[in-house]
Amino acid sequence: CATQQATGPRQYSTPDSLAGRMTVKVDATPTSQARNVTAVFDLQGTPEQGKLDLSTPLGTVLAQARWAPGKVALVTSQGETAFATLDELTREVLGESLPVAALFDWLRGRPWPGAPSTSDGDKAFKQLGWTVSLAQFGDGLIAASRAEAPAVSVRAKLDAQ
Amino acid sequence: DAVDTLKDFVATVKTGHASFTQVVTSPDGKKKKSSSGTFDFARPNQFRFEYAKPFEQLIVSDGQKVWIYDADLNQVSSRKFSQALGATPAALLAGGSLEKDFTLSALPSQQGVDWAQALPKAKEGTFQSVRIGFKGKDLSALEIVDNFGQKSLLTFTQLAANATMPPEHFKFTVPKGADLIEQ
Repeated sequence: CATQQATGPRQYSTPDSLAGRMTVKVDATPTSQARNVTAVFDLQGTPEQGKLDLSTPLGTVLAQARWAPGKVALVTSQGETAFATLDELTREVLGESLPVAALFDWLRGRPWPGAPSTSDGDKAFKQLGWTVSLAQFGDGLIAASRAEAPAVSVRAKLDAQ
Repeated sequence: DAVDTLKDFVATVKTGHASFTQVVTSPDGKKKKSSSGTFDFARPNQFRFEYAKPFEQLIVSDGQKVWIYDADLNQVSSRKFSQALGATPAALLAGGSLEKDFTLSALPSQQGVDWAQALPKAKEGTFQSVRIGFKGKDLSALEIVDNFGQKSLLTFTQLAANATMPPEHFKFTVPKGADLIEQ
């Protein structure tokens, strides 16, 4: 039977931007509550240079992460905060770091070329300690989870272009 | 002028039901995202944005808490009303303490819509401007520009004022199987 080609990458993204809604959950730990960020997102550019906007359903941008070689910053209504790396920025916002560089490829239904990956059945792969499921990628839905405590899960639904 | 109309609206329209379309324009003006649904409110600070197109999403405030439910993500998040950043514009429409919370000024009318500007007094800093438009006495539009320059324009139609609204209408029950995290 024809292998089910990962349909839909064009349908849900343009070469330089990925937009939709995302929810990130970090499990509770003995010292911290469970955390959740659910937002409309717009991811632009490349892992080397780009920006990620997080906004409310009403269209108000609450936070913007911006990165370029040697400069990583988070801008909110309180002002701009510099970070050494994107990992540090996401750890500040979410409590755990998120592989933003890899997201550019994960959200396009494929492993990130920047690190080794192994397939996990025909609709998922493992990379960077995460399991990324593409079972509903045809509908623009990607689910990624990191088992290492505190467990982190990311669910993203891309807007149809 | 529009400020008087707004004050009169807050004083006389205690509950409301309207259809709305929402267009969000990116700061560079290149990208526009449209959605639509229904907006209900009951003063003070109870409201319900029910997005139907292009996807199902629900924002409900009972005056104390604001819940956001995204059907595709099967995720519910809830925050205290006071900390629900971005709830301010809805508080302008559904709030009970207009002049305590906002500095009001009338703006020139455009295409038959009288505009009032409402600047939040609470230094929340999330918004550049929040403007509300009326056609005669009827609520017509809400325009929100945030600090990044992103603009949301909500246009309201078929506003039914002062219909009786059961309190459960602004209560949120977590759909079966949906995940809830309270912040």
